Amino acid sequence: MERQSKLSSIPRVDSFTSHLGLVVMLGGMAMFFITLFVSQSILENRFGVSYMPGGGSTFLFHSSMNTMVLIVASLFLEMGWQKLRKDDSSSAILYQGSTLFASVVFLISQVGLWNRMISAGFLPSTDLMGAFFYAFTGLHGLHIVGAVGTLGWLFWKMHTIEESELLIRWTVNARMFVHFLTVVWLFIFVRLFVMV
Amino acid sequence: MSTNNESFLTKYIFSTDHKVIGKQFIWLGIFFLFFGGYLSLLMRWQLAYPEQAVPWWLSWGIFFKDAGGIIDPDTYNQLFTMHGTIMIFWAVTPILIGGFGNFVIPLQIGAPDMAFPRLNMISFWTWFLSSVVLLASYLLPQGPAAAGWTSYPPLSSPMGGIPGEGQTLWTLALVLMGTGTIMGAINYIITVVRLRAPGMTYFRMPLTVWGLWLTSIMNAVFVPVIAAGLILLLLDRVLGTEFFVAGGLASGPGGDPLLYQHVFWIFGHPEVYILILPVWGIVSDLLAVFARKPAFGYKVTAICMSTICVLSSIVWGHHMYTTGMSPLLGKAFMFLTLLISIPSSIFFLNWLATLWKGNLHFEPPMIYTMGVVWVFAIGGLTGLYNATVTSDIYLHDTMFVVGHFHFTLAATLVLGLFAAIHYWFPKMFGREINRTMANIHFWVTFVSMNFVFFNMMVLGYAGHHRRLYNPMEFDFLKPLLGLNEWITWFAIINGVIQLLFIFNFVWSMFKGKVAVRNPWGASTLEWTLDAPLPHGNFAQTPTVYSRPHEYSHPSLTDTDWVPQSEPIPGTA
Repeated sequence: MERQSKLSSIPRVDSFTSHLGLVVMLGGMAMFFITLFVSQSILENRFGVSYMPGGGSTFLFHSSMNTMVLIVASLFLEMGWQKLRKDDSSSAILYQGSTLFASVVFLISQVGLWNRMISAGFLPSTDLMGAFFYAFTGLHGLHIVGAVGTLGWLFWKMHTIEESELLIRWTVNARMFVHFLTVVWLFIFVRLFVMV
Repeated sequence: MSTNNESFLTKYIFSTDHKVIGKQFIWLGIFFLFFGGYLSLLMRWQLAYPEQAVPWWLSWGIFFKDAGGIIDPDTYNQLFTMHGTIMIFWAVTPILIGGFGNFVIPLQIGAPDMAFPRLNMISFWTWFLSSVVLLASYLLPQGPAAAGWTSYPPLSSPMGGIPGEGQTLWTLALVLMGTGTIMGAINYIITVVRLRAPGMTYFRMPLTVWGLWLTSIMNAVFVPVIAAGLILLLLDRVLGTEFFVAGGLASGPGGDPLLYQHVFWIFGHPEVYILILPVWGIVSDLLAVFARKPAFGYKVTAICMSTICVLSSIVWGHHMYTTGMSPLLGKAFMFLTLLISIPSSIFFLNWLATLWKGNLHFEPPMIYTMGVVWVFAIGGLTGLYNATVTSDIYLHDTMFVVGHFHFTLAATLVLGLFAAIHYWFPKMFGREINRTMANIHFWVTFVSMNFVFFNMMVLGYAGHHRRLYNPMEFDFLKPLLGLNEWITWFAIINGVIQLLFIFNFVWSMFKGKVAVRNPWGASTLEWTLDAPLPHGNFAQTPTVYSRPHEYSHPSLTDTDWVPQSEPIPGTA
């Protein structure tokens, strides 16, 4: 309850409340992805597993690289967070920018993977694997677009505001969001590329 | 805490004030309540007078011109689809959860606003956008969605299902609406957890807040489930995937339409409680206010409502007894469903015990509340037949089910929201709603809706299928035509009397008697404030000393109530 909002006379809530709100939101997102995973398992159980072109191995390297990029993005964000806690804002900005860069690279690389898949004739309408591949990666990618927007906004704020308490709060929230998406991606990666 | 530097846009359109947003939700919901209600009258006309031209006063001389005023089968499908969808998701939900959730929660827990005011505003405008998308489907050449409010595949899939983009827009609109709902749910949950005034423990919260809070938790958990299902359905329609397409309709091995039914009802059954919990809360509070007694078994009622939330999430299969599920599974779902009747009966008895030997005041909000008690009893009892496998197999997909869920949902929710509107009207607009008009509106609405929904169950028991375009095509249904006609005319009476409500609402907003601060002698925190309420609500954060219904306490002398923000005389 420490700072007045521009739009209204209502005081802003404290950090814990803000984090708690995000936790509820991530809980909802978890339910969303769990429903997709369970749906995939049910359909596979019923109709048998279908495979990507080349049994998935053709694209395993590409998707593994994407996975690494996202993990690196999460690591950069974590390191930036540690620097911010130590009031080393210039290093924090550097790591923050690196996270943003890595996230953008992930998105571009995902588009590349889609292009390769489409060129190989592997479309959403090909079979259930195709349908789930594009559903999972597309929906996860949309969330990553949201994360990129959030990180970009935070990167800009780090340059424009001095209030470290607010920056820490926003960074903690961005951190939770990005880490959550990394974990979701790990599940998607294992489910689509490793388990088949 | 109020500021005067707000522009018209930030004060009334893109406001972050929970009270303004609440009113925006209510206006949006009232619009759709009338729109959805109108669709039902057209549907009723077709059932009473199959393939006869809709009279000018019902078609307004502009609809169905091409077909000579007759509702064709495709249009009939669109009518019941959009009626169900609109009434559930765009009428009742915005009014009860969006409207009263926003207006009441911060005021009743002593908070200055919602925890995330901007998110709250975005939530409303996401709803508004979803409304535009839904209504836009009427502009398409093949019209809006027509696969029923459940939109089961393959009916809702492009392969052998509903053609045109109306069904696609329906799916998209629901996804958008769900996004807005989740935003609201996050706000409500966190507001209750974090912004309660000092002394406002969980077991001092009004039961209205309990209902809305539990509803929000269920929304946060289950709306993402249906969102996932709807997105898969959307992909089926747009990208040609086959998640829910099976058999000869699929180009390959295909998917499973039953999977959609499971996903739908995993959300859909909790949705029933998502909608009804706020009404249970409102009724529990209002009975205490107008019986001038503490709510009987306050804590038990709150616990029962919470128990029902848990149970409601594991009973979805009772909607699918006829899908060929294993009899053992059917029994399990039946047992779990019937288990819900225990907590439901407990808090229902608590309602009756609150009324017992109470000093009853039959003000407009109270008569609507009493109406809820009646219709919910009928709806609850008739639900037992649908919960039991043996009787449900006979009654499944008949008008009996339609009558049952209209008692449970339509009647209970609509009377509940009328109770809420009449109760909080003085706090919302600073004026009293006209009591004579309110009484007339209640009695006509109550009698007509009971006639309509009860006789729907009679039709269903006689074998009348739901979603049937022309019952006269079946010899065994021909004797029921007279009953169908009666139902239709009572439905029309019910529709017409709502015009009195809207007149009373608007007239009282401007011409009603100026309301005193606490016209009902209620003890919850919102009644300690004078209307119009400032942005920020309380000049000083109140401290709460008692439960919300300490009416007729023995130590009170001058009045029979004391606000929650004041200690009860003679108590520690």
